Amino acid sequence: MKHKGENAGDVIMRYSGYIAFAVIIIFFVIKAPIFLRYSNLVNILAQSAVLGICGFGLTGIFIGGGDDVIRGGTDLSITLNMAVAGAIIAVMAGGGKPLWLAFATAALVSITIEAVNAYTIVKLKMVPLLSTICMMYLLQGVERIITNNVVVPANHKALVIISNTAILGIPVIAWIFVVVAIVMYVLFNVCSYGNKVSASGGSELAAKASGINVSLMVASTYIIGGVMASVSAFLMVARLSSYTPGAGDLQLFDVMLVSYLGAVFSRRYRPNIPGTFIAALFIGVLTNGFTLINVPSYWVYAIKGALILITVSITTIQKRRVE
Amino acid sequence: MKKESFSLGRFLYDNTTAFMMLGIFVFFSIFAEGFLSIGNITTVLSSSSVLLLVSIGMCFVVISGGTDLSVAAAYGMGGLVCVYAIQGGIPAEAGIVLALAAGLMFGLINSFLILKVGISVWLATLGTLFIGESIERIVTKGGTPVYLSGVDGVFKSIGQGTVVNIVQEGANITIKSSIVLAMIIAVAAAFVLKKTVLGRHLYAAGLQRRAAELSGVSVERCVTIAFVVSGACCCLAGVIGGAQLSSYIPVNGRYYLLDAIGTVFIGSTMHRRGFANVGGTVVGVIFFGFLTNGLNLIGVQFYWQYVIRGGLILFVLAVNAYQRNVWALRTRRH
Repeated sequence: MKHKGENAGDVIMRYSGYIAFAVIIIFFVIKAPIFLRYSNLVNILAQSAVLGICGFGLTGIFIGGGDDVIRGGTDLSITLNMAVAGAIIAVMAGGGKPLWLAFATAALVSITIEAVNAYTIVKLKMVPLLSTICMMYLLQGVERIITNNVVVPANHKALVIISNTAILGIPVIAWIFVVVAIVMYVLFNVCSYGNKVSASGGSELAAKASGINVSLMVASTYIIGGVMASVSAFLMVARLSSYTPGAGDLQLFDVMLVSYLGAVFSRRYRPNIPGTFIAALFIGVLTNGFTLINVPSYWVYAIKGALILITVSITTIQKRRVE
Repeated sequence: MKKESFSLGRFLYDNTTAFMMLGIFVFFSIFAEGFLSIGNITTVLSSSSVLLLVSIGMCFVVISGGTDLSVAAAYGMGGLVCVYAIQGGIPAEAGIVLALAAGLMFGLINSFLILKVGISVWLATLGTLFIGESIERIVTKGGTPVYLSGVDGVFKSIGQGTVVNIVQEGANITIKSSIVLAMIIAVAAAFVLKKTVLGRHLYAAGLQRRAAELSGVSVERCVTIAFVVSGACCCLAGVIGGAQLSSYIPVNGRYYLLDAIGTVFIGSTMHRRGFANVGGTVVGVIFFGFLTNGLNLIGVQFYWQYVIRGGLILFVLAVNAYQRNVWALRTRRH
């Protein structure tokens, strides 16, 4: 799309995030022709699901809490929340309980955890960074108590079916990812709820003055974060048919990256749901592609980090030029 | 303004966080055998040096209005540079200087990304965290620890040297030189932040960026200094960590990252107006140390320690926050 007063260079800069994404895909296609195979592409979608869905939760919290570095909305406990939910699902489903019961319990626990977070942030007015870091410590312990710090196998029949079935050639896990993405998109970008949440995050006073219940809006983003954590936990257990302790500690920074990187894929450079979706796919493509061309795993993080910084740099410079 | 007369109630009320910490300390003194011995107390203090240094670095960045996620990578990089330099036959002093230079680089890169390029603080330091950690993995071929044989001289004394070492029957009092070094740096940092123009400017830059700029404070300079101090402190912490173990263990810094965020913010709740400060941070570090130690001595199962630790810290901070709100309401009414 060409806007008034823009030349070709500006247009390239504006879409630099997408262009970097495209260039990387082309690179992988040339280096590893398998990359473009249908099965691999679908696999990437499924691989990105856990990170992406958890990222949606965190993005919602970012939108509602504002983007101040210290006082802004954030949840450092969200991946530990996912880990606890995953552990519960694996232990219950592995122990022969019905899958729906396992998921319901996990979801209830996740939502309760986020409700506590929301209470400390909205009612007690604690800095989100601080209260969620305490929650993170606490959940690290809970996760290890549940799993005893050993891998929990979960060979539940229904879980195996979910991870192996494909509808219209797309695995169920990928379907769930897409459906959750659409639901979150509708919630945050179509419904008036989304506007109210962004207003609360943008300027609390202005939002209050226009009659928005800011506390309720902020609290609701944490509750949604809890729901997202339990859904991504479910997919994580389904994909691996087991739960490995420590998954939450490892993925915290990846999930944060996906949510922040999502800002690059938007016109206003703010965290947003569609951007998070693309960012999750971006990370998924990078991980998948580097594995295909046999780059040692310890290089992958460096390349990922550098690529992300470059992409973000270009976009940010452009953002400042626009302003 | 009329000075308020001293009231005990108000005094207790103002310092609840400190009193609750004291309460936990007393609890351990009564119920944990050996907790209150001088030997135990000095041991806990001596083992806090690394976290203290990382926390001081984090404190500077938080004061200047940001957070630094790359402290984990800077910590690892300090150890890496120093241990590899010594392994390569370079004198330890030069190794330590090289490590500090690495810290300087970290600070400069972070502040370049944030100020010149304009990336948000979270994303920039997240990026340098990822890159730094993978450099650690690449150099160590995937994360194998590097062991030094025969450590001596400055490198040994910075990690294992002792200032006071009294071995008596029943009491074993050791104060490591590393904690003395860390405390000296803490005092220097507190002095800079409280008593110098630079310190005022750092607070101003963090609190009201625009207002600070208008009144002639170079915000860019403040942010750069904060990140450089953070990088240097963390790399020094990495050197001490390496010297304590006579080895380098890659990608070990993330534990300190989250603990440092915790201690700095606990410290800030002890400030009357909620600003991050070195004194509070030191208290936070010591509180973390004694909490872990006390739970160990009572014999709480390892996994439960996480839960109790997290829960207790959350509780102390929640009470503090609750009180602040009540106080804010009360003052508004008058």
